[in-house]
Amino acid sequence: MSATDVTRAAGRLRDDEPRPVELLAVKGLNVTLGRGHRILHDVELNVAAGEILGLIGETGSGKTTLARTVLGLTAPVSGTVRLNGVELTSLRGGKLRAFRRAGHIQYVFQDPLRSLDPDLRVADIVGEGLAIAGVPAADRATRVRSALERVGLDAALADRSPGQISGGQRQRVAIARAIVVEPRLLICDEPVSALDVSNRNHILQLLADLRDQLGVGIVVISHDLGSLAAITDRIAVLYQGHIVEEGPARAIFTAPQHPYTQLLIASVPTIDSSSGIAADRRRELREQAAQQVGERTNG
Amino acid sequence: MSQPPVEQPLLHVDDLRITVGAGHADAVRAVSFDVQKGQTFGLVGESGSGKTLTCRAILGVLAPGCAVTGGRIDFNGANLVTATRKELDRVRSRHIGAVFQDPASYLNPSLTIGRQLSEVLRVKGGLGRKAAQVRSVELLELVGMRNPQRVFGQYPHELSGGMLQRALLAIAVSCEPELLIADEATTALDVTVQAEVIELLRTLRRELNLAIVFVSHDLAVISELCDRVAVFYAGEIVESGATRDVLVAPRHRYTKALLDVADTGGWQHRAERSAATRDGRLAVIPGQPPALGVIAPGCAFAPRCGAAAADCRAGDITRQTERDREFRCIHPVAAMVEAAR
Repeated sequence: MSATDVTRAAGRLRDDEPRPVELLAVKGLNVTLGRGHRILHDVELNVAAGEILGLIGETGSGKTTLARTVLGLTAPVSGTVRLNGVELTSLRGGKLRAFRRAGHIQYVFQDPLRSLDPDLRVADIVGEGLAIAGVPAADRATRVRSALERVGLDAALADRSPGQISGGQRQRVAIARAIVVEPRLLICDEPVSALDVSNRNHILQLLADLRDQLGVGIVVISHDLGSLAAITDRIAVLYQGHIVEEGPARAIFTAPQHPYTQLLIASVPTIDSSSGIAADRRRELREQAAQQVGERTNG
Repeated sequence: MSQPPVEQPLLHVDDLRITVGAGHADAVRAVSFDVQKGQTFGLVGESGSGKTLTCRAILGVLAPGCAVTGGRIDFNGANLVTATRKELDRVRSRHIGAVFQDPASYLNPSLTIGRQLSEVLRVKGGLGRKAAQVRSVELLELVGMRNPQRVFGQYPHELSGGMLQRALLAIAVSCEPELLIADEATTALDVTVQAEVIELLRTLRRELNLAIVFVSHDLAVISELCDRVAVFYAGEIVESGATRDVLVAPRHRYTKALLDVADTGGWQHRAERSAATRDGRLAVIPGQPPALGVIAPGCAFAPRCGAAAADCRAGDITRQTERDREFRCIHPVAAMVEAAR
């Protein structure tokens, strides 16, 4: 069994099978911003290699702060972030720089037009991380070509600038830039919400393919539940800084337990238009959710 | 539910043509539709398909370089395309309201919500200071603010995205317009907030007998809110009709492709399928829409369409009518197969 097969198998895990080897382990994470304003409360999160974890929650729930803390851009008050057993929260100075330069964790942003340098060619954008990591120019060109090919971009686009390609192609460039350094973990913050429905599926399928072919662990942050349902293995629900529910995607989407998750799922518009819930019921669920979280915070 | 057609539609768009840029490329071609009083009319399509340009033309706020070069837009029987600035101002201030995707960018950050709302009531509605204040609080209550008095004195940065969109809706309906243009008004909102704003739009429609032109790329949102829908592709309406008919039994191949991509079987089923087997591929529409100004003969969707034949690429595609449904497709999806689903 090759390494890829192992991670593929890990991703296919059924609910009753033992957990695969952890890639990312977040434990007891507490983050405050500004004057002691608490953003994250005792967050626990695990991502295995070859797995896509969907992170859902409303604006202000702490999704982006969690991602920034994993990246080391925000320092936690307490708690640990481990990647492949290395505790990132304790890295300092040269060790931290070396870790970052190696590009083990990569980030894909929501708006590809704003996250790509408009003055650079696609090939330079994708190769920049390799240049920083000290990869020689000849190797760079080969790896850039293969990354572009992997994300389904024509080699002819390598000489274009971001302004000359479509939105879907831009997001592919952003993903090529992320995977060219062979990361272990990919964090995608709303990767498809700026795209049309057809392009959305292209990008979602690409993420699923990268999981299966490269065995990379992927965190997809989104409030588009339909997109997450299409590709995620597990879902974690963040509400007011707490992970209120976590489990296999199928279970979360079909039998949500926490009132907030129930509210989220009942709020998704459907074409068949049969699932809408009354405003009263929505208010009730929101109050229950707030109450449960309040008890956790105070208790 | 579609309203029975009345003598004169509230909004009548006929053979509208909008060109863009120095090359005068056609961005919107031969777009025609009617919106009746109290009706919610959806415009759906990919970005660049002409939905927003059409809305901006109705509002008379096309960006510099864009121009209406053909057709007419009749509002209550008066053509807005040829209207003078003064007439247009009168119609826009009293009869047409608008909300857009990003609520935060349409409010002045240094003025309170109440100040901005009562300013509209005083300038457009001719109310006095005190009356405007009273009416503002009423409006904030109408759009579902739980504490309208407090919101009145708050600044935009103190409100969440959903509350800002409610505040903008309060401003848009403040002078009791007959028509509301909502361009991707729920797109940037969280899914729970989106559900609340959709509910609010339904309430406003009911209580104010408001007609709404609702632009979205999300078929599910259109389905929840709209009586009728027009599907845009490459600057044209390729199919239009009662929302239920169009979404349950599409006739145009593009509408069908959009529905396949959006997974009409219910989004939760995606999770079951994806958990059961990772081999199922997500549906996509191959290729890209034609670039602006590139108009090949025949159907614009033909290069991406699995059912396209030689005759699809030759000559004009005439509009076909079936009851109150219109579509432009020579080889449409069979009518009964989909309806029986």
